[in-house]
Amino acid sequence: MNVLVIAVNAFREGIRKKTLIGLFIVAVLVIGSSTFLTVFSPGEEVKMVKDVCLAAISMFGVLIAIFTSGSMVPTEIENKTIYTVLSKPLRRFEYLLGKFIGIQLIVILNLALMALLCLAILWTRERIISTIMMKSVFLTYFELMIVSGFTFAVSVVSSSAVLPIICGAFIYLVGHLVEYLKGLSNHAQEGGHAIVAGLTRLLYLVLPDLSKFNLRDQLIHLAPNDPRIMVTMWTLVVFAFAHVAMAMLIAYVLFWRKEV
Amino acid sequence: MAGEAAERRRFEGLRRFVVPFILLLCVVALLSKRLEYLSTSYAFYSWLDARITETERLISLPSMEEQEETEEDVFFKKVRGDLDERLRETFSITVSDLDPTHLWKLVLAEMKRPTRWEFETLARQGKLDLPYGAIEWSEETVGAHLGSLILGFRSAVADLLWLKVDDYWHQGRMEMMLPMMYTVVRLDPHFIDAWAVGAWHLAYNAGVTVDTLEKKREFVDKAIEFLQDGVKRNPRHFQLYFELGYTMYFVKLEDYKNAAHYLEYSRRYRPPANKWIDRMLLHAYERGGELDKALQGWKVYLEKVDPDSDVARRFIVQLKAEIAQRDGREDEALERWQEILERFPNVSEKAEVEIIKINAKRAESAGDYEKALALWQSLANRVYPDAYDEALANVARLNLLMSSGKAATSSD
Repeated sequence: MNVLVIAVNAFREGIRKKTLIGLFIVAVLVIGSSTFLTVFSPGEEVKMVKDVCLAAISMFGVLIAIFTSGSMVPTEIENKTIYTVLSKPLRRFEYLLGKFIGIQLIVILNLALMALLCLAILWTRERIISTIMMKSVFLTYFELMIVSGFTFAVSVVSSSAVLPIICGAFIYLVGHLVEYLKGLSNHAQEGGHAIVAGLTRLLYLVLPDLSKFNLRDQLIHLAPNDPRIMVTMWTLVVFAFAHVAMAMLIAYVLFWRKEV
Repeated sequence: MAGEAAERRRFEGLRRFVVPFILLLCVVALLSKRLEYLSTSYAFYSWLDARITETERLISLPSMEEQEETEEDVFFKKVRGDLDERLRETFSITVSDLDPTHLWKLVLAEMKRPTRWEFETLARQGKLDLPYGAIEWSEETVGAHLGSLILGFRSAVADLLWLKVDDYWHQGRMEMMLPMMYTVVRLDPHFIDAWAVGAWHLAYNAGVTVDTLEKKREFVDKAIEFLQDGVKRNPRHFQLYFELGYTMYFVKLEDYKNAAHYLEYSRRYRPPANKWIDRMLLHAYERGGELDKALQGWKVYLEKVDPDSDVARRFIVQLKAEIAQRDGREDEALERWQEILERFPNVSEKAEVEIIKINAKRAESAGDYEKALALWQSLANRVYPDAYDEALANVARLNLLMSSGKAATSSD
């Protein structure tokens, strides 16, 4: 119950933030403009709209997720409201979980609104509701959930929102480059450096490799009955939940004895 | 002392997080392994699908036939032979009979065998022609992790580059346009229009920039190779087969046999509303000399695809006339051509031409060279594309024949 109250409160507080509203308005403008971009490429309208919409949803979704997750706890510390909340009979884990769920509700709301706009634009062109587009946005959300989780973990030890936001952007960029570790491990293996190969391989396996979510981009061009879609999609969802569980555990360890 | 005790308590408190943390790490690692397995399986599936398409559906260009057998070819033959043998034993089918879903299931099972290790090794060494982006780590040449560097937005980046390709085309900067076109399809191999329009640029526009026929043909071959690459990456998309069949072989090379080969695949995957492909296939049969197949095809088209088609009705009569003509039944042929003149007066030029041809041949057989010459001359004057050369040749031949005949008479 406590978790739910905090989540709803965090959601209410979050959606009022001017930065988020600004980001959302820009996202809507970009998505809306995708329909004009097609003027430059006749014959490719639907593909262009889908690609631009999906890229805009992902980019602005990431920004929204990073800003919300990075600023939620530091703002409470700055405003000193956290002292009032934690002085109540409330476990710290409940507080963290509530805040995180609140953040996810904000991200989901923003993604849903952006996706609705995209679907409406596609509807005006194709007269069909693109279920593939919906799957793609669904997958995008789980990618953002991982970024949001780790950004949130950083934010619990910071008293200012700047550091977690920078870290969030860094997590997103590095998350997309984790695959390099696999190449590095292979090269080390071929060069006979077994220990380096083993370590890089281990890192590759445990770090959140966001490039695995690139399927979201390929989804909209694959045949609807492409055999890998469902099996990979659900594995990615479980993968995202496992990483978020790890991020929450790290957040709790960092917040557990934090003096606030 | 109190500080030490607090530190110890803190350390002991932290210890209870170690086990869940390690457990979570294990779960994450296992899931990563699972995703890696799926990704490699998909790469293997796409590679196998592309190679089957290449060997069974694509017609080799002369330049390709000279190539030596690569390690990839050897590996493919081994995998294919092995899979075919097992499938034949159990279900009496081969790999190429499988639909995508069953092929995927077979691949998932195969990836648990030593094939996986061999596939990964060859892929890592860059010895396999893998569909771009299927597994990034195998892409040594394109800066392996291109997809990662652009944060996975391959399609959006490809779209923006495509706009630039269009820009260069309008500026006439072919040397800038062509490399960028290849980059676009590398970034987004499912960008069908990029493959189609790119091949058209190569065959029709890039060819204009060179002088000799040989070099022009090289560009057409490049266009065909480009489209074949597209087909390998999209083996079930009708448009690329259509471009190969119609734009390249039918129109550009007038090779109707190969055109029909690709148009058959295009028809197999076409959307139901697209009847144009069926018609082009039947035209390819007709022009390639497969008149009976074309006639049968038009009958099926009229019965099942478009029962209201006047075009189909006309071609059925026309093909009956052509078949009669081919088999030497001239009276029946004339009757059929006459039927076309009466039933389809707006599109009867071919019928008129054929009637003139038959009458000219008959006049010549009867020894009436002057009438035959007049008929061939009238045909040459019409400048009808399919008969112009034949008419001119006959006019020249008859003129020669008649002048030599007159010479013989005067010398007598």
